[in-house]
Amino acid sequence: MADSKTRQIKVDYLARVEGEGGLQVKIRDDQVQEVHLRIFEPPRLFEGFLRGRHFTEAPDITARICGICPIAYQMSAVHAMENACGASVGGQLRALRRLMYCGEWIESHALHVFMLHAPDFLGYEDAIQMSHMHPELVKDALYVKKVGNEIVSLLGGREIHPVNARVGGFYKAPARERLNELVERLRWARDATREAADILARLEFPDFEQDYEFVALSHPDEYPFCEGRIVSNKGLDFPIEEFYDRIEEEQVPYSTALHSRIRGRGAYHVGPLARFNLNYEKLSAGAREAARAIGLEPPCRNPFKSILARAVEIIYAFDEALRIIEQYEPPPEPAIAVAPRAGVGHGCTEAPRGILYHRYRIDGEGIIRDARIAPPTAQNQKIMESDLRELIGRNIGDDEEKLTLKCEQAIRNYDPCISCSCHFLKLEIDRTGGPDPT
Amino acid sequence: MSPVSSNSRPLVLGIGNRLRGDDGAGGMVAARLRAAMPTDAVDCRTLDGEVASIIDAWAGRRLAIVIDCAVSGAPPGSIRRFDATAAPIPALFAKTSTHGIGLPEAIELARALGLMPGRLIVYAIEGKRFGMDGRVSPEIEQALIKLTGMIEEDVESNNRRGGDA
Repeated sequence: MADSKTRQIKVDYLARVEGEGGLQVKIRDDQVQEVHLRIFEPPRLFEGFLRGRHFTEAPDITARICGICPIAYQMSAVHAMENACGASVGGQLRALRRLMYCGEWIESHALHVFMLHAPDFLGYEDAIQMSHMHPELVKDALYVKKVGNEIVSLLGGREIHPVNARVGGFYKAPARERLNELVERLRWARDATREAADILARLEFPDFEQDYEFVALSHPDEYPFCEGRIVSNKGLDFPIEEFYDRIEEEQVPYSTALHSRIRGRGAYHVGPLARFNLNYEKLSAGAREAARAIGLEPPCRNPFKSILARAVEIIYAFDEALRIIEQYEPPPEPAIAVAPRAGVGHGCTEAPRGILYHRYRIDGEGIIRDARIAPPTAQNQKIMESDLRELIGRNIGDDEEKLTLKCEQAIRNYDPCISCSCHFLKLEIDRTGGPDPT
Repeated sequence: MSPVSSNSRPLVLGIGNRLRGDDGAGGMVAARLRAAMPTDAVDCRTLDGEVASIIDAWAGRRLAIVIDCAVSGAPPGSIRRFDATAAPIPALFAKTSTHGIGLPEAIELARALGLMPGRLIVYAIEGKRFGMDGRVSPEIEQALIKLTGMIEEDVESNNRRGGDA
């Protein structure tokens, strides 16, 4: 092995992702030896400190896990608790939950598509640079995001870490007039997104397809937010209660987040592309038309085109929000009564980045005795590493700068949400000849 | 962005989280000014730091005054004033925003997009206590009095000149 050549690509801090993570790649003799997506954010111990708290506190506690997708945490928590207590929320309260989720998808997707991911394709360091050449695109993106903020603010009480959701419904339901005030802006923002999607469709996408197992919720009547069975394009179809019967988690030494895999199979892919591929027929007519117009058809196996799937989902979220508002009648009560009972409850909802599963065991007084949470980014870790391994293998001749950029872009395909903190990119490339140091 | 509506009232924008101690200083100043000044003289608001909402709040204003908490190593309670109308502000603000888009980035984004107010003044107040109990440090308590007075003067001076920032 004395003549072997070893290259290392190391990104200490990933930029334009949510939280603290890095990337380490080892290449030897032009073969990818090791790909480690390192998540070194300290453990946050939410599952630990949920124990001993009242079941009604779970939505507000878990919402603090993420500043970008707090609604997802609240919705998975409330559904799990209602499942444990044998309660079911329907009618306008259910519709309001979907409406609030629309707001979160719009906020989160608009931020990622236009401010974080588009600069990769257009060759800019960040959205500020991009805004000099594409001011109208960025202006529209900011407005689209703001309209998403307004939905969350109205339903949740505030834009970030909303406080109005509760087990059984809401603390306060909005007046019809308040929702009607949003309609004009929702329409404007939907049309602006539609126009922006045409620009996104003209981006240059790497020729990169993988034979993924896509996993998402599937509901018989609607594009999934809060309910459904877990399905895949390779035959999975099971109720959410069987999540841990079908999915296993493992600890790896270089990451503080557990890696998920389908038992007996391996890595799987969750998020907008999985939802789009598995639920295309449930999209609104306008979203399907937009997808066709920008050349996005299921099955799409190119993860770089997830930016298009997100744009289509923004359009869907606007359509769905408008539909819900049009049919809205204020419910007689903002919440149904939910009495605690001893048992285990499961909740699985579609966070912007993919399925988010919660399981709680509560006692007869409603005290949480055990909690487990499987966030989408943990579920996508293995598939991100698999993409990187393949991508680097195909581009092994690129210089480090080019290869590093491609790796970062490939990671951003998944909009990883490692936590709520900031970071900067510190790049270190080490090209070493000679024996393998290990 | 949607059509920008012009608003001649000066905007005082406090940025931060009132549940995290000193980080809520901006909102506290905005609340004090709201109580102290007539509503037709000033528009006082509080935001959590989300970039689209910040830019939307100040776009079309003749004068916007923003207060945010800083963590730069200066003595707690220190107040610094920057005119951001024509030049970037230093990166000394608490990096609590998601995905790294905070106040300095919001200003530069607005500048690139032509969505700056006529004049943008930024006050940085150095924080010390950011605990979950929401308690504010004594240094910030003291500084709030002074800072509220300084901004009141800015607003009155602006209004005396007929809003010609």
